[in-house]
Amino acid sequence: MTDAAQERSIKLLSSDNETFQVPRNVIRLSNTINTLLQDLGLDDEEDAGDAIPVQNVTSTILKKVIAWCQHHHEDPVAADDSDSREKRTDDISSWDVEFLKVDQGTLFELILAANYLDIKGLLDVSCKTVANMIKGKSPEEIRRTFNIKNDFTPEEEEQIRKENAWCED
Amino acid sequence: MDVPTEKETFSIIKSLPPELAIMVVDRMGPIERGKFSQCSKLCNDLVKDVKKKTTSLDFRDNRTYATIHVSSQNKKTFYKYYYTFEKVGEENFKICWKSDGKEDWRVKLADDVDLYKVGCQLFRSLIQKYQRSIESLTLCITRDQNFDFDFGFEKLTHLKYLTLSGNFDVGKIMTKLPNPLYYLFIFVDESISIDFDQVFNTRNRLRIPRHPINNEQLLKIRAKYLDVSIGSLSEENIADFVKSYQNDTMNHNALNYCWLINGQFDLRKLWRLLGSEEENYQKMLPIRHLTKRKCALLNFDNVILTWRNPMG
Repeated sequence: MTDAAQERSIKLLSSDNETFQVPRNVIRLSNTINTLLQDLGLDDEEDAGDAIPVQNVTSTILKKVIAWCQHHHEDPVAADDSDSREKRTDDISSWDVEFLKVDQGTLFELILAANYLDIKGLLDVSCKTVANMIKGKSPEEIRRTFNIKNDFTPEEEEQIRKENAWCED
Repeated sequence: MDVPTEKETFSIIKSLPPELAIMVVDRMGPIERGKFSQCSKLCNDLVKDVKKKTTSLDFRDNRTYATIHVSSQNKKTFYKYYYTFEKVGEENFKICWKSDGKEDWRVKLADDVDLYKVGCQLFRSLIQKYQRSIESLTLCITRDQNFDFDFGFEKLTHLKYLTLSGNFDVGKIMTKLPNPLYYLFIFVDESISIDFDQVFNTRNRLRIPRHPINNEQLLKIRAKYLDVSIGSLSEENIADFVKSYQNDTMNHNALNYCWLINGQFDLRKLWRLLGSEEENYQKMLPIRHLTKRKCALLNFDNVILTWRNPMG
């Protein structure tokens, strides 16, 4: 990629009407934006014109998404073998761990944004972070963590506990 | 990691669209999923959905694996090789041999290639490479495959633990082993027939207990097994067996024998029943715990490997 190409940028418009200027080589991590630029024939254009509305993402979240892309845009492209890859949750980089130390509401918004913008890496690491939140916890502790109400009848609860007895310590 | 919630009533699990909640559950380990499914009906449904997605076909129909534990000279290091057949797209398969991160071989094949033949060749080369260091071997194969059993078992002079799951000719394997085993674990399935005579007649291939069992006791054991159909072998049956066998021998350390384990049996309970010696075994050998949906791969050393069916 040439310096000029690296310097090219596009504008993104958040749902609350804040505009962000983002280098194209950073936002390339978003398949949604990439496809949009290609479909509109703006991929090679110096000026992509008006800001692209990202209607489902607020400025606070979009800022975080851009920060994540900024940090990861030079990462090597992962092989597309997600089906066979072991689903590990202990391979989150320390930067990502710090980045995702946010409240559940923000994490929720980030997952939605990563899904909407089709940023696989961010979606994966956000989902893993939620999955990691239950590690070492009992069902009751998990309920408290996620504000989940136990709606099993005592009989159902006993049945499901039996089915999962193998995972008890 | 505890992430504080902003609002007391907000629940990320309840708020996420189902496809994204499933993605989260998909990234949980089997133990976490087991605990998560006990939280609420929604959680239970999500875990079921993930299992449906990842185990839509019985894994035995399309996946085979072998785990080899190779002890180093100081017996502190174990290498584990995971051997899988995976279907890629409509026509291609690949065979993966994965170790604990040190090596990873992948062979991609067209569907007309005899996968199992190639798999066996790869496996045989590993056996030859490590033959005198292999202490523990776990094999799982598809029930309908005519696997080439000639892995070079006779060269496994240091093999102590053997775990089999699938359509193995157990008797044939036992006669090939150069030394008695400490333990033989056979995971049985209702649709797999095992020639009990063959297994028990080769008992001299198992390590002789400190108080050797006599023929009468052997018959009793056989009767125990034959009393129950393989498919209905339950936790209680095995617990009874353990108890009676312990009484018979007066020494539970002599329990170096063949275990036929139903897929739904709680292996941990079995280890506890067996006593302390087996605790070492737990630490050493990952056991594939066949849950009802047959999707978990557990290691009792707290290393959890997620079982994922690539056909799902």
